Amino acid sequence: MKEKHLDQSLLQKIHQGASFKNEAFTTIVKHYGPLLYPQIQRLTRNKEWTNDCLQNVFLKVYEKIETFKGESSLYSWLFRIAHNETLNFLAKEKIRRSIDVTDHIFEVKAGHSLLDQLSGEQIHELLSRAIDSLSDKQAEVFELKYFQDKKYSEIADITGTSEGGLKANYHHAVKKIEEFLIRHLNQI
Amino acid sequence: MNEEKDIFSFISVKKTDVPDDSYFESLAQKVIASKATEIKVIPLYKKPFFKWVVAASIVLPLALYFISREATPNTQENSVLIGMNDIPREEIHSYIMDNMEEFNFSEVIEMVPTETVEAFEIETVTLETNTSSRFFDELSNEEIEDYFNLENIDLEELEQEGLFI
Repeated sequence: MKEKHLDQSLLQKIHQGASFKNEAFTTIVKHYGPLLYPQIQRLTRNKEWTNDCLQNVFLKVYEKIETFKGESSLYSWLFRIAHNETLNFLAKEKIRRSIDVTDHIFEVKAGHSLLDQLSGEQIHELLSRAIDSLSDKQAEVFELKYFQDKKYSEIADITGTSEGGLKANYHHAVKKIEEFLIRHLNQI
Repeated sequence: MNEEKDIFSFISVKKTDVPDDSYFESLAQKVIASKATEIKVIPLYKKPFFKWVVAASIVLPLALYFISREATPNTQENSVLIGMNDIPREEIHSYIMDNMEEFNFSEVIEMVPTETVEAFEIETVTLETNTSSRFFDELSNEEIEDYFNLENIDLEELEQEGLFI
């Protein structure tokens, strides 16, 4: 478990003074930033907002990193901060300006009787709500497997979970989302 | 039905372009720099000097109260002095004039502050030693004898006592 050792050495450095903290923090941003970026991008669907939001996330991480006890993996902790910060950011930004979607995350193939009735925006909205209904662990796995196309072995390293556990979590996540989508598509 | 269950095969995800390492490196530096320049707002009650200020604000008034109590030995005397302020100046002046004999002059001087004493001009009346002789020189012996007779003063008695030559 490479990530686990990395997390432990980073946490040790954080408590060794300001210069060590800054060094550890830079490593965290460089290592986990590329995983958080697509997660935020999927929610904001706007590069400018993604950049602003990611900066807010890491400002929060810098403030709170000393309070992280290592009870979960560092990625799980960062994933939760990124999710909450992005939702807060969007709540504020959407009041100030109308939604400005510059990047579409999904492509919907024609041929599905229910999906064909919806616009891309509606499908995105439904899928986001479906993912929100997942547990934290399921949401993490779904993010890394479905959206970022990571291998189970990589996800196991990142989250500190066994591959068997990840497969079970992913299976439940997909099932839950499908049921959610079908239920809501049938109501439309 | 199978089509409905296999919904994910109809939705494909577009790959997100993730920026390169230099983007995340500069992001980290930007966050560190912004935190370094941020002014930390420490609540007043957490500042180290605050407990000393609180302690001083409690102790000082108490100390001043006890010191002032120690410096005032007799409250009865104070009340007399405060009462004196209510009496008009003219009344005090007339009382002094009426009871002048009762005042012990040396004690009064002691009570008056030294700097105030200098402001007084003590008028001392000095009798010239030769005034009486000069006065009597202007009188004739007959006039003096007439005065003694008028006053029934025995001249022989005065001569015996050496008061009249």
